[in-house]
Parts: sequence; C-alpha cells; structure tokens
Amino acid sequence: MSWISGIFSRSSRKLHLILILLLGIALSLPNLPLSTYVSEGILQTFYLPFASMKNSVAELRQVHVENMRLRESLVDANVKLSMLEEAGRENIRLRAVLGFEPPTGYSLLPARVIAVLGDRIPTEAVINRGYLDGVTVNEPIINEEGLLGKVVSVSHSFSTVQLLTDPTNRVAVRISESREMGIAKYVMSQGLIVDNVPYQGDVKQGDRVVSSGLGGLYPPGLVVGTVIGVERPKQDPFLSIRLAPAADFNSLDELFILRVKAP
Amino acid sequence: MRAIGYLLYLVLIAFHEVILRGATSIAGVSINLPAIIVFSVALHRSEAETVWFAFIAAMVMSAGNPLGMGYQALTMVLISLAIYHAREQLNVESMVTRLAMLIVGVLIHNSLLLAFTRPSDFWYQMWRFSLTGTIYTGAVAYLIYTLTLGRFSRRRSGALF
Repeated sequence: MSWISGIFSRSSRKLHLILILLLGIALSLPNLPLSTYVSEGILQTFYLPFASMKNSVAELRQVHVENMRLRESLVDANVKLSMLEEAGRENIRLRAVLGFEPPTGYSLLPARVIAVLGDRIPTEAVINRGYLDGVTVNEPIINEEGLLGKVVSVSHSFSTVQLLTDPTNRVAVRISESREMGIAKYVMSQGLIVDNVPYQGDVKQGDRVVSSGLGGLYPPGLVVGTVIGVERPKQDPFLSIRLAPAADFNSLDELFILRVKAP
Repeated sequence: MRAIGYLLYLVLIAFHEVILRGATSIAGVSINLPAIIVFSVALHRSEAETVWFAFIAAMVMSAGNPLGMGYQALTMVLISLAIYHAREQLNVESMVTRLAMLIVGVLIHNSLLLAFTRPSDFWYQMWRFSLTGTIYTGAVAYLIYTLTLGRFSRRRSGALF
C-alpha cells in the first residue's frame, strides 16, 4: 500500500477525498446499479467461499445427526427382525407339535424352558410350570421327538426337569423290534447307552428303543432313542448298546408335561 | 507485503460477516470486528491507507446490503479520517488512549448505522444493541491489543492516569 501513500501526496489529497466522496455517493444512489455490481463481486469473491464452508459444515452436522438416527433405526429394525424370525421359527415348531397326540390315558400340559443347567451338556431344565399348574414330582417330560426326562422338583411357578442326559437318571426301556428289555442311562464317556440286555439278545443298529413302562414312572412306548452301535464283549454277559437320543437336548424350547388323565 | 496484509484483513472481515458474527454474538449483541480493524489501521497507518482501506472494508462489510453500501462506506471513511486526524493533532502515543478512540469510533459507527437502518426505534436499539455491542467490541479490542501488541504494561497504563 506504500504506492498509495506515494500517489496520495498533499497536492492530490483533496482529489482523492473527492474521489472517495463521489464513489460513496455513486454507491448510495438507488438509480445507479453500481452498488449492486460491487456487492455481487464482493459476495462472489469474499463471501462465497465462507458461505460454502458454513453450508458444508451445517450439512455435515445434519448428515451426522441423520446418520445417528439411521443407526438407531437400524438397530431397532434388526431387533424387530430378529424377534420376527424367532416368532416364525416358533410358529413352525408349534405347528409341528400341534398334531402331537399323548399316549392313551394321558394328557399334555405345554411348558416352556426358561433355563438349562449343565456343564458340558444340559442335564437339567427349568420350566415355567409349577404346583399352581398342578405339576408334581416324577411326572414325565416329553416333546414331539420323544422322552426328555422327569420332574424332580416343583416350586410356586417353576419346576426342574431331570433330563435323560443326567448320569443319575435311569429309564426302563425295551427294544421296539425284539422286545428285549434293559436300562437306559447316560454315561459321560459313551453317551446314552442301554444296559442289562442279555448277550444273546436280538438287537441291531437302527432299532428303536422305547420306554417299557416297568417301574411305573414312564408310560410304555415313549421313544428314547435309536440304536447306533451294538457290541458283544466276550467276557460280559450283557450287550453294550449305544443310542442316539430321540430328542435334541441342546435345543430344548417347548415341551410337554405328561399327566395321567383323571378317570 | 502490506497489500497482502490488507487483503487478509478484508478476508477476515468477510469471514466475520459470514461466520464469526453469528458464532460470537451474545443475546443478539455482536462484535464490530470490521470497525476494530479499520480504526486500528487509522490509528497506525497513513491517511491514504486509512481512507482507502476504510472505504473498501466498508464495501466488503456491507456487501449483503447494497442499498446501504455507499452510506456505510462514507460513514466508515469519515470516522476513520476523524480518528486519524485526532491521532495526528493530539499526537496520541498512549495505547490506552488509542483504544479509547477506537471505542468511541465504534460507538459512533454503530449509532450512525442504526440511524440509517433502524430510525423508527433508534433509542431502543441504541441502548439494547449499540452500547452493549460497543462494550463487547471494546473488550475484544482490548484483548486483541493486549495479545498482539503486548504494549499494555501496568506501568504504561498507570502512567496514563
């Protein structure tokens, strides 16, 4: 700006002041479009970059807020979708058990598993039925696949079920085809086995094993499992029979309490 | 180099008008940063630089209001010229006095702008915005002077009074 000082000598000082005054007046006159042109030029040169920056920041903030809102909506939608999928699966399961008929002389009380206990495999399950529903100890528990276990304790609104996978549980069984009898139990190292079947018994792979009704706890004919292996140890008077359980103990959900019908 | 400095001042004025004014205003009272810049130039530079910079800065400042551009430019030039001559005639050296002149300049500028833009409720606007805006601007100018010039030692201020 020193060049301005140079040309702004004392002699031309008044001239410059008059020039500024005239420019000022020209800018003030509404009939002259000078101020509009100057304003437009200044807005384009000086204001526009900052205005764009301000708008970008505002847009960025808006996008951020919208992004947060959409994320929340997405989580909400995912939860709803998950619940709907679960409801769909439940619907399929319930449709499957709808035509499930109890053995003659028994009725079914539906129940839902609310907790499963056990270390490596489930050995106990807590269900949402208690003595208020008329549940008593030792009542058999089944689902549409087969026998699951029995009630071992009952409280106000809940009951505990001892599953077949509990090593202390025993079920009197029969080989469906050959009518051979034995005791089914769960051994941790072997899985579900049938004990006490005589060496000469006619048992083969694929045979169905059902409850025999002996002992009075379980009614006869409840499916316990299918024979998957038969061994005949030379030094043992009994067969070694391994079973595949009829029920999937790892995916228990809806089940039934098998109750004797009142006469 | 000085021309670049003035250009940066103009950019700063535009930045203030677009972004800073809204961001720094308190209850509708805003800083008159263009006045601080223009009157500071009047307090430290030559007459030529003062009047031309005041004229151009006022145009940049009022670009959003083309109808008032000429009035704003002339007002700014007049006040700057008055501050410049006061500085020269009184041989003002104290920075506190210069700051006081700047504040008076801001008050006159705010008042003249109000007289042009809000003549109907001039006195209300004067008390509500102009005076408070001048105080706000003065405080900011004090901070700027203290931080950038570092000339407000206690000894100098004490010597003044």
